[in-house]
Formats: sequence, C-alpha cells, structure tokens
Amino acid sequence: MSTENTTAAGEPVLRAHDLAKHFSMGGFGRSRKVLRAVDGVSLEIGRGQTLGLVGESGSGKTTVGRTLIRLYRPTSGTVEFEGRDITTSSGNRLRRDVRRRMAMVFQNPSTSLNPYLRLGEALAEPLVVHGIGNAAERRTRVGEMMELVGLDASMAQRYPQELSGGQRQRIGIARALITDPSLIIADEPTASLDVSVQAQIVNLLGDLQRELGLAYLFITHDLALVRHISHRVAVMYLGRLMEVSPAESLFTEPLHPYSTVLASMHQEREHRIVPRGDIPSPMTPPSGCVFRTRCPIAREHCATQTPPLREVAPGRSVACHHPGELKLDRSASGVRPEPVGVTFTDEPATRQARPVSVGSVPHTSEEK
Amino acid sequence: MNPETDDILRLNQVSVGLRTAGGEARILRDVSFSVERGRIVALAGESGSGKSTALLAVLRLLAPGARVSGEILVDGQNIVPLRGRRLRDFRARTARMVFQDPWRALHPMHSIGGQLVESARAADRSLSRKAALDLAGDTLSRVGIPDPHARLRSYPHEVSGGQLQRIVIAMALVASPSLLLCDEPTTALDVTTQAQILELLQELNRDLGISIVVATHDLDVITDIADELVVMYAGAVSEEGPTEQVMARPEHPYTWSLLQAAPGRHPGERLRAIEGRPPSPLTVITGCPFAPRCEHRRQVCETAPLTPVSVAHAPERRSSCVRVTAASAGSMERTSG
Repeated sequence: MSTENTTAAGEPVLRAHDLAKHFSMGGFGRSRKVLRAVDGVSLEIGRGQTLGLVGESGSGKTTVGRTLIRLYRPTSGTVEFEGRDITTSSGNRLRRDVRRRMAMVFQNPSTSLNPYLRLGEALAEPLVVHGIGNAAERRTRVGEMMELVGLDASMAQRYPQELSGGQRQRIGIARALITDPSLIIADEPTASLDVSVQAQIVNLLGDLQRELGLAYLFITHDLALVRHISHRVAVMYLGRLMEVSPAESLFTEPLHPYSTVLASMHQEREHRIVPRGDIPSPMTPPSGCVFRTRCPIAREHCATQTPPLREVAPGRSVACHHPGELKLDRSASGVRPEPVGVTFTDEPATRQARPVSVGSVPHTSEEK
Repeated sequence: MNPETDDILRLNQVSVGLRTAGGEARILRDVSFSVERGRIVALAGESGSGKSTALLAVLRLLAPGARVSGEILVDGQNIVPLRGRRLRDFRARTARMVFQDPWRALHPMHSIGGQLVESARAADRSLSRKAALDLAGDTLSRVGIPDPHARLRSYPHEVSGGQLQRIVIAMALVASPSLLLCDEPTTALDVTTQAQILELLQELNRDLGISIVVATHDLDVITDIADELVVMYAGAVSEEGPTEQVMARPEHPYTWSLLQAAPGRHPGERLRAIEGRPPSPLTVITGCPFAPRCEHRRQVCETAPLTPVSVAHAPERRSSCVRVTAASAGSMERTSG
C-alpha cells in the first residue's frame, strides 16, 4: 500500500502509516461492538504545507486529527513526527516531542477557552506547562503572540466573553503558536464564524504559514475552503481515505467517484452528481469498498474486494477499483462566477472608489 | 392593500425590539419585503442580521417581551394582533416552520408517526386518527422516505440526519400550509445531503405550489433554488431582487463584499475579508448600518435611510445604498409605501 508521494516539499514533518483507531462501544464476547472510526489511513504532511482533510460527519476526520496529535493512542499503525516515532510516546517524551511542536486549533473558540482565565493567562499556560521562560519573559511572549495574530497586546487583561467570535479564534491560534510548533492541527477552525470573519481568519492562517513556515492539517467539511487553502487534499469516507491529491487536481480531475461527487457540488446544478441515499452508520460499514452503496459506478466486485489506497500518478493516490471513471462535466469550471461590481450613480466616471475586482470584469478593469 | 400582486407574505416596516439589561436591542429595523404566492424567497445574511428573527416574527414565535411594530400580512391578514385560538389555528394551518437542527425539532420519546399525526390533526380537527396516519405515510413517501409505513413506527434517534430533515418537512406538509418557512434547513447537514434537501424543497414548490421562505447564511447554496433574494444586515434589508440578478450584479456594497469574502471565487489569492464586524443590536444606528465597514462610504451614507428603494437602472431591484440609488432619488418612489 504505497501512498507516500514525492511531491511534498522535502522531508515531511509528519507521516502516518496504516493508522487505525477503533473504539469499543460496549457489549461482551460475540456481541462486542467495535467502531472502526479510522482504518488504514496513510498520509504525510510536508514542511510548511497544508494538507486539507475533508469528509462528511462520521467520516473519522476529527479522529485522525486527534490520533495524530496523540490525544488518542492508535489501535495500530505508526505516526512519525519530525523524524521520531511518536506512536506510543507518553509522559515527558510525549510532552517534549509532540505537545510542544504540534498544536491544535479547535472549532469553537467559545468553548475552548476557560471563561475564568484572562486571555493573557490562557496564552501563558502552555509556556508554564512546558517550563518555558520566567514570568517576565512569558508576558513578553504573550504580547508578541497577540500582536502576531492581529490583536492589541493590552487585551491580555480581558476575559474571553468580552471578545467577538473572530477575536476568540485569534486567541485560539495564538495559544497554539506560543510554544513555536511546526505543525498545527486545525479542526474546523472557521466553522462557527461568519463568512466575512472566516475570511479574516483564513488569511491570518495563510500569513502565519508564510512567515513561520508552519504546516497545517486543516480539517473541514467546507469544500470551497479546503480548495482555497490546501496544497494537497485527503478525502475521507467512513473512516477510510478515498483519495489524496494536490488540491487543484482533486477538484478539476478527481479520481475517486466520491471525490467527483464532492467536486461536482460546486458546479451548476445540472452538472451536479447527487449520490443516492445516506451515509451508512460507521458501526456497520458496507463490505468491500465503503462507498459502494452510494457509488454511481459500483460493480459486483466492489462489494467483495476492498480497494487499497495506491499511488496511480505522481502525488496522487486513490482507493478505487475504477479510478477516474466517473468524470466531472468538463464544461463546468467549478469556480464560482465573479459578480460585477456595484455601480455608484453619484460618480459614474470612476465607478469603483478602489480597484477591487479582477481584470476579467470589464466593468472595473480600468485599474489594469 | 396590495391589489396588483398576489402576495402570500408581506412585511411592512416591521421592527422588533427587545428590552435587555444593556438597553433596547433592535433586532429588526424597518424591514419590508414581500413573497409572491408560489415563489421561493431567500433571506440571506450573517449571524445577527435578523433573518431568523424575521421568520420567527411571521410565526409569532418571538421571545416574550419582544415588541413588534409594523404589519405582517399573511395571505392578506395582519397576524400581529392575533391571539389565543386564532393564533393557534394560524400556526397550525397557514404557516409552518422547518428548523435548522432536525434532531431538536422532533420529540425524542414519541414515534415519528405519532408526531406526524399530531401535526396533521392540529391543522384539521375533523381528520380521524386512521386518516391522519394514512396522510402521514403518503407524505413521508412524498418527501422521499423509503418504506414510509415502517418509518412511522420509528423514533427520531433511529433515523439519519438527512432523513430526519425530510421528516420535519413532512411534518409541516401534512398541514397543507400555504407558507413554509425554513430556517437554515441544510446548515446542520452534510454537503451531499444538503443538495438532496434543496432539491426536495424546490420539487415541493414546483409540484404543490407551496410558497417557501428560506433563511440562510450561505448565498451560494441558495442561489439554485431561490427566485428572489433579500439580503439583510444588522436587522435591516440591504437589497433585494431576483436571485440571479443580485448574484451577478449586486446593488449594495455589502452583498458584493459578502460574495467576495467566500472562498471559491479567486483560487490562490487571499480572501477578501470584510474588516470589522456588524454593529451590536444595542447601538443606535444613524445612516447606513454597513457604512463603518464599507470601503465606498461617503458623507451621504451617514444620513442614509434604512429602507431600500428601487434602483433606477434596474426596476426589479431595491437597494438601501444611497450611492446606488442617489441619482434616481428625485423620481423614485418607495415600493413599500
């Protein structure tokens, strides 16, 4: 099962091989129930790169994130981080090798901050845990971090409830960055934010990546967002990886039928491929290929043989017996059409006060 | 009131205020829009824009203490003064709501059939239990639930999210309402399921002629099914018009900024964030509520009226941006007078 690809820049910061995480759901003996939340997941994240992890609810994407950062101990498989095997690390080694260098940004900034801690205290906590610096140095570091994420350092004295959702998420990011990690696991970091604020946070994450050389595992269900921010994208369905590809290829020429379905959701309605039925329960996944019950091109052998994830082109891996067979309608671009800028009747000559649109729009093209 | 068009729903200068510890919160500010019979209208906006409040106001489900002014006409009848039995009948028969989260919209301890029967008989008391159960089964089948008669005996926890949302829609449909209000009906669902539910809503609109109002934060999701788009910001209407026109050529800088801020239009570029955030409902707004965040603001914006007026160069459109409507100010007339 070769999934490792050659396009990730340099040595990957993280490499997971054949990772599985099963949860016991009660019962004894024969009636023992096991939820195979994650099975056979192999992926790598290049230094300074973003790997997008997409999937619908119950696909296991959050479990993958939590297993990689070792909030869970994998049932089987290995995780290598910065060249070290961290699969079974514990105690001081776990803190030193993993928790300082890998950090998490959570979905809901309102519940991931302690309401009784001032922001400065919340930010300094990881430094205290890791015994970094003295009180004065920590204060300086907290101030630097707040400014790095676009907040005024004087806000350190405030409490989380005094902040807006976007500001709280900036604190969540600052807290993740304060121990100088190389990899951030961001689990739906903008899902609870409005579009206009989401854009601010996404831009901030991009700036930080360029400045600090951070790698991200960006977990999301938002396809447009994942396409926008990822270098490569891994698609999960019912605990398994369906496809791992560079972001653009995944959305323009998907190989797995499930990727095709997802990519088609952004096209005009008549080009969309809406799968029948619902996602099966992860407790009772279908035999063979887990996607077969909803797959438009499923055959008989899809029910009996589980397709392994294998590299079919440089940097592209897919787990399907018939990769590339279900295609997107080529006539649709998948990029949303650009609206024409607002026309202001009080200044017909200049139209837009500032050049804000791209050159393809004649309406605002005078800036080009 | 409005003889020339057949409106199933019409809001006339509706304001909703709520007294809070911090002062008077203005949740809706002079909102006017109308829904023509048989159409799908989307109310779009970010959180705090007032889109959900507008739907709740139509069903008279606002929190106790909320003060409503203005007129809300459903099928020509002003529902603001309704009370007691007449209010109950209105809610049971005329307008029905589909909430965002199907898990919370159904009672976990009652069977699906039981809840559908209750819903149907609330609307039509002459319906026998047997007839209501038949109607429930037929309706489940209409919304695409496989093996509907078996499903009637199931409980909500036994059903997936997409199926549950279909059941919630069926629960509204058994009452044969003339107006279906949907508050973010697909937000809690996965993308593939989301597409299925939107198609179902459009089918119901086409086949049964039911008028639908959908509140949503995602403009791109709703474009396919909505005939008309009402964009809201800070409790007021920014602009409205036929969906395709609004999406292709916004007549308000807020709409334009909102479309630009979403990922997907400019691959590989920075997203175009809107700096700042919406005003708190506690602030007294003078002039255009979007002006502090608008890169096109001018002095006139500080005294601009809240209510959208028709746009001279696009007669089907209304915008509250004075810089868009200014030139036509002399000849324009308010469409919501």
